[in-house]
Amino acid sequence: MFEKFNLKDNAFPVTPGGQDETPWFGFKNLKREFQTILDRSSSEHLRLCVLNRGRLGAGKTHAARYFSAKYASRRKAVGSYIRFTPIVIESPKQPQKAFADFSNRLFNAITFRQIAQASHNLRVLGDVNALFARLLAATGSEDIATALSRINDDNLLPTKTFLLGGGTAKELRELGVAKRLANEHEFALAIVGVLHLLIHGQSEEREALSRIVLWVDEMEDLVYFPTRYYLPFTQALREVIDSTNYHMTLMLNFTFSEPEDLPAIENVLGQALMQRVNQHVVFQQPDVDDMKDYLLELLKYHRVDDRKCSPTFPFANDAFDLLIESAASKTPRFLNKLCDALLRDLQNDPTFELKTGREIPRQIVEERIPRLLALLEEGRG
Amino acid sequence: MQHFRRAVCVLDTCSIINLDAIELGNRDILFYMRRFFDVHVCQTIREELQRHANLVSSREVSYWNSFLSTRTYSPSTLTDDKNVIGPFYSTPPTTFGVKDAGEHGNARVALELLLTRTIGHAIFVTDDQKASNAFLNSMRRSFPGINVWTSADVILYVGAVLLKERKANFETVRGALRDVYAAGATKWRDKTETEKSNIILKQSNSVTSLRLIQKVVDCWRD
Repeated sequence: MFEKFNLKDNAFPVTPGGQDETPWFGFKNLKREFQTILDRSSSEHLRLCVLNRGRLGAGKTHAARYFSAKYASRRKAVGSYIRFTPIVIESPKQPQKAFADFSNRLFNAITFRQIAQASHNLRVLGDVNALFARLLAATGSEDIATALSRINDDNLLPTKTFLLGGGTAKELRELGVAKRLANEHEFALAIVGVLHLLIHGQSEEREALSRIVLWVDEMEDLVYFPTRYYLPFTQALREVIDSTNYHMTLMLNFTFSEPEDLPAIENVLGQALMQRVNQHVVFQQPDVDDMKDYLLELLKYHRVDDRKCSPTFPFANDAFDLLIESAASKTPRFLNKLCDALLRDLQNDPTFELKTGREIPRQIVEERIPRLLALLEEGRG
Repeated sequence: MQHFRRAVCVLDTCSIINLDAIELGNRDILFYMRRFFDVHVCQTIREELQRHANLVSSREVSYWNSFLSTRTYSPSTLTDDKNVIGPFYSTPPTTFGVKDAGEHGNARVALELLLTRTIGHAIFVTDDQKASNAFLNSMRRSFPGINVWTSADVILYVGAVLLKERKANFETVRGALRDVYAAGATKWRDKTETEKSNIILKQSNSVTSLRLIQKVVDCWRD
């Protein structure tokens, strides 16, 4: 559809999903901040809990996807770790069984096959009893240590059922466990056990450490939790953080219209969780230069043919500046929506004709932009 | 408490539903509504409550109904929404009687009780921000005897007394505030990001107010 603008159809995505790869455009300082955190994660054995706060559409989920993809694909050792294991999940959406929901999302993101493989690796390096002993020491739960030390291809399904909080009496007996996982504390221990396997068991040849980078998106949804569900959930999350302290970087994404208002955020996350946060990344309101760099890199990346057009094409230079001015102090998502809406508007207008290779003049953008901005502000764009 | 003249409260359906199931000092909010307030509602509120019975989780809706049945007031003079409420709108609705019918009815109740000197003032409790913006704030400016509260204000009001009486602590009242905002967000509204940020901000403001209350209450501790 955007071919005549020398752009791929999906040049202006609203969310990072659905793309083959996740590129990064502009915002070099922000990128550097994350890079520093991940470098620190690779070189130091310490718990890092990072609170990423920004407005809707500022790029928090995009950052999670981008850095996860970047680090997951690394096959070489990263600092003192043989690899990074990035996991991206959303915060739970069902307050009444929030932590079960959270652990289900986490296990499914890791995959049970990967959990079984890590357990297998550690059995090969030691034996099942040694693995049981270390899992018991890590979790304090005989049931969880039993299930995770024995998980393999043959019992994958019943172990999966057990870890997700289910299981018949017969299945549980066959796994050697006494009861289903029921409360937040038990699910927290299961997560601690699984993370222990992933941290220590990702090599078949030698015992080596991996670094978990767990991104939890949409933490602001905790505002929907009544106290009776909120307190057990945050308590269990603290249990996981404290029990997995040296080899995990926890990234909490928090969308909020006032990202500098830390007391308001603390009010939602709770003091205990906030006390564990030792680094903050604030997605600041972008200025004109931020937006310019962003859009120029985006246009370059999405060219159908990059050989013969100006960097601002399909927009004339002054039209490009007008677009940037209109979106300054908004978010990259807003700019994406604005560009997409403008090009679609022109595409669908039979009275507008753009000859191949000609740029969209400022006057055309000027005419159309008030209406498109109004639509976007109303959320209908 | 026996010598205490209770505040008059005109309670909207959405606030009843948001306050339902919230506990403070081991008592439900209905206990405090009886104790601290003279509650008045129009007939429409009971009908609306019946229609939204699925949103009242803590107890039988009939329990609220029986509580409200003796507190239902039908205005004898201010009976017409269009003439009484319409002027408070900058752009009045073309028809009255469906949208915001509960708020309109309650507003007529509050005005009639006030102007007939049956009561000295009225606290209009509603969490419907649209209704507040549409006519209630304008009515409040004309009739200072009417005050507009949200459910969170009810929690702060009750919470202050309970803090002073040592029947609740700061965290309990803060928990009740979290509950009332969570109820308001999940029972009624679409969960848009803008709404979510507004709730986070309002909740933060309420907790700031609670901290100020705590400071005053601490004077009894010293």
